This record gives sequence, structure tokens and C-alpha cells, in this order.
Amino acid sequence: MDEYKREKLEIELLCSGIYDAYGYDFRQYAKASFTRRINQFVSDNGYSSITRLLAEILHNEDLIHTLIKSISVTTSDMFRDPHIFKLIRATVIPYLKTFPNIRIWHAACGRGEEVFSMAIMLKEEKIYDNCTIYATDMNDAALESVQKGIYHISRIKDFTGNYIKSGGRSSLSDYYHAKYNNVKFDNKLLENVTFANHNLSVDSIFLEANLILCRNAMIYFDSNLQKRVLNLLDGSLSNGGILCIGSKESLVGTELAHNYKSLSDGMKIYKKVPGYA
Amino acid sequence: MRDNIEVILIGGSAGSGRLLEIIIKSLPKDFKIPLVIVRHISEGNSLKEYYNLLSEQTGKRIREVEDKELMSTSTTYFSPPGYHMLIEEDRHFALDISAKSNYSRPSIDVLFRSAAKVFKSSVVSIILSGANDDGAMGTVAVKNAGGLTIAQNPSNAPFPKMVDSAIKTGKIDLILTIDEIIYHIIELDSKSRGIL
Ligand SMILES: C[S@@+](CC[C@H](N)C(=O)[O-])C[C@H]1O[C@@H](n2cnc3c(N)ncnc32)[C@H](O)[C@@H]1O
Repeated sequence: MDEYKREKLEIELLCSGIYDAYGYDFRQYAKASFTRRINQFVSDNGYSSITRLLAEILHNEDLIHTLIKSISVTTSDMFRDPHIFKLIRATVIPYLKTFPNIRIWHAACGRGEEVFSMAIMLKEEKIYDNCTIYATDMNDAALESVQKGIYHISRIKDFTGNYIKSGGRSSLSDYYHAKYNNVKFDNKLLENVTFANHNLSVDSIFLEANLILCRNAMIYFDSNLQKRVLNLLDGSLSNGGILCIGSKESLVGTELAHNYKSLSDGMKIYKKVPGYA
Repeated sequence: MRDNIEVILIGGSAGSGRLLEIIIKSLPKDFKIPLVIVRHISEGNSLKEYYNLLSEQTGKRIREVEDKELMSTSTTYFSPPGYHMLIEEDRHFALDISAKSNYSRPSIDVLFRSAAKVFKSSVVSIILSGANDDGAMGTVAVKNAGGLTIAQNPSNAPFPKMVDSAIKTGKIDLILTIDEIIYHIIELDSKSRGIL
């Protein structure tokens, strides 16, 4: 059998096996990069094939969590795409200020860089206390790591650079303590944050938010799953609310395109205005 | 010579910018086979404006790839800085910010491997100047899938290390100067359109 045909079949079997056994749905992930990450896991852990890995997963529930932890891409940065945060500070915060209770959802929050960045900004703009923040991901290990708030010290240079570019009002070092090779961000930043495991490919709407950030997870999904997720986000956002997606993600070609108005040309941040276009 | 080439992949790193420009400018306007290029440049340095300029100067379609964009003919695609670029079975591009491969993202290996899977023997890969090892594993994948593998002649490469690593795999079919590369791919293009 052709090597690539076999690989394709093995990936299909793996995805449907994982779905039937544990409910995690990878069947609509973009195939090429998903396959690449599975192959990496298979070779790093010494399985002789993807099918062997599947057999192991079906017999050993712990392994599914190890797999999810290791194939989830959690690459991120504080104030990632600083111009977006700058725009949020300038135009979204004044809008949020008009509400007595503000709900913010970080969907696929990863290891928390985005959650801390937003929390810092909300503190600086003095609206943190009015905010209820939901941080969700399908990866429990990522959620635990947000709650620890610990990052390697080598990342401070980028974090600080981005903080400055985003228009930070004080100094990033006010928000963390350095210890050995790590920095730990202030737990107060997480006081209003609720953490939950939420899977964008299978779970449903659980809140109505004023601001949703869902960045750099959809890029790993195929177009059908992207559509599902966009509808889920749309259903979770109040009219007039703000949706922020990743810099390589897009509303083009979806129903949302008609109901969302870009806050700034070329930037992936939108206001929900039903019937806008 | 082959007559069914569907895509030409090019990987370049240090010293490849000028070479890529020469190649792109030297190809005829009606060149059909898509060129898909990974060039290592530092993150945050989008070259979109440069691509637009090059597009205007040459009258060719030159783009920085967007996620889920469909690959089409008569187009030159560059990977966006900071992202791996892969090709899906249905010929859409897929971007990915997962771990670096060989210290690189975008990685030439990642592109070459994914394209080898999809296009098998109808792919041509070219390694240009660079100061690292990226592209060597990808060259192996292209060759093993039946594709044609080319390396720039190391004595002409400003930084020969990348080419040398690819050649050392033993999987390079042709070692060519830039002129020869240009000549060769124009001929491949004419051939695949049945002109020659
Ligand atoms: C690169 S991180 C994004 C972090 C942050 N939003 C950012 O843009 O910097 C991607 C996250 O998506 C999560 N993810 C992937 N598939 C998911 C799904 N189906 N449901 C929820 N989270 C998912 C991964 O676990 C990972 O933590």
C-alpha cells in the first residue's frame, strides 16, 4: 500500500477512534499540520506507527491527555499583535466602559499570555473590577499553566517590547516577580477570571459576551470546522459586541461577513452589527 | 525530462533574496507552474509591499500566502514570516505556528514534506543559498516520493551550507547554477504545456 495512502487512513482511524472513545474531535482539523504533529509525537515517543499509537490510546486513558498536551500548539506571546491591543485600548475599552457588567471570553486561551495581557490592560484602564472573564481551552494542561502564571525569563524581552508597543501605561515589571529563571505574574490579575474546559469543536454556547477573543486556534481547523466555530462565537456575542480573531484567520466567505464590521482596515477585530453588509 | 510538473518548491535562506528576485524576474510572463517559496526572514518583517512592487514590475501574480488559500497556476507564493506553510491534499495552503523545525519557522522541510505527499512525482524542489541545514530532510522526502530535486551549485551560493547539506543526503538529482535553474524550469514549464 502507498505510504501516504496508509498514513491518511491511519490518521482517519486515529481521529475516529479518539472521538468515539473520548469525545475529542480532531476529525475536522486541517490535515497537513495535524498529521505532522501526530507524526512528531509518534516518533518522539517511539511508536512504530500511528495505528500502534491508537491501540495504546484505546487501552490507556492517560495517554489521550498526554497526546492532547503535546500536539496542542500553545505558541503565544504577551500582547501578541500589539497593534490589536493598542486598538482595543483606544476603541474597545471606551465601548466596554458603557456597561456596568462586562463579560469577556478568551476562547482557546492557550497558556494564558493573552489573558494576562488583557487583564493588565483592564486594570490600567480601571475597568477590571466590572469584568467577568472566561478563559477556556480544551487542553487542561494549558488551563493549569495559566493559573500558575509562570513563564520563562527569556520571554520577558518580547513580552516587554510588545507591552510597550501596545501602549502600556506603566511598566510590565509591575505585574510580575522574577524568581530564578522564571517570572510569575500577579495572581490578582486572575481574580475575576473563571477557567473552564471548553472544546470549540464539540461544546456549545455558554454565555453572552461583550468581547470575545478567539485567536490562533481556528487556523488549525478545516473550513467546515472554522464555520462551526465562527457560528458558535457569533451566538455567544451580544449585538454591538467585539470579536477578535487571529491575524491569519478570516470571516471572508462566511455568513458572519455580513454582520461584522471591521474596526480598522486589515485588522482582525470586528464589531457585531447585524445586517451591516 | 518530465512533463507533468504541478508545482515548483524553492527554499532559500541567507543570501537567497537576490537570487529569488533574479529567478522571478527572469521567468516569462506566461509561466504557468506555481512557484511556492519558503525564505527565512525574521519574524514580523512582512514583505507584502515588496511582493506588490515585484508584482507591478514583472506583471506577474506574486503573493504572501494566506491560510486556506487555493494554490493556482501562474502565481508565485511566499510563506508569511513566522508561519510554517503546508499544502493540503485539496491544494489549499495551510499555515501553522507550531514548533520550529531545525530552528526555522517557516521551515523548508515542512513545506517540502507536505508537498511531496500531495504531488508525489509531479513536484520539483530547489534549494538555494543559506547558512543552515533546513531543506535537507525535505529534499529526501521529495526524492522518495518520485519528485525532481535540484540544488544551487554551492560554488555560486553566497552561503553554501544549506545546499551542501542537501547534496550530502545523496538525493539531489541536479546541481545547477542560477542560469541553469532558470533555463531548466522554463523548459519544464513549456514541456508541461506541451509547447516543446
Ligand atoms: C496558539 S494557542 C492560542 C493562544 C492565544 N489565543 C493566542 O492567540 O496567543 C491555541 C490553543 O488552541 C487550543 N485548541 C485547539 N483546538 C481546540 C478546540 N477544539 N477547542 C478549544 N481549544 C482548542 C489549544 O489547546 C491551544 O491552547
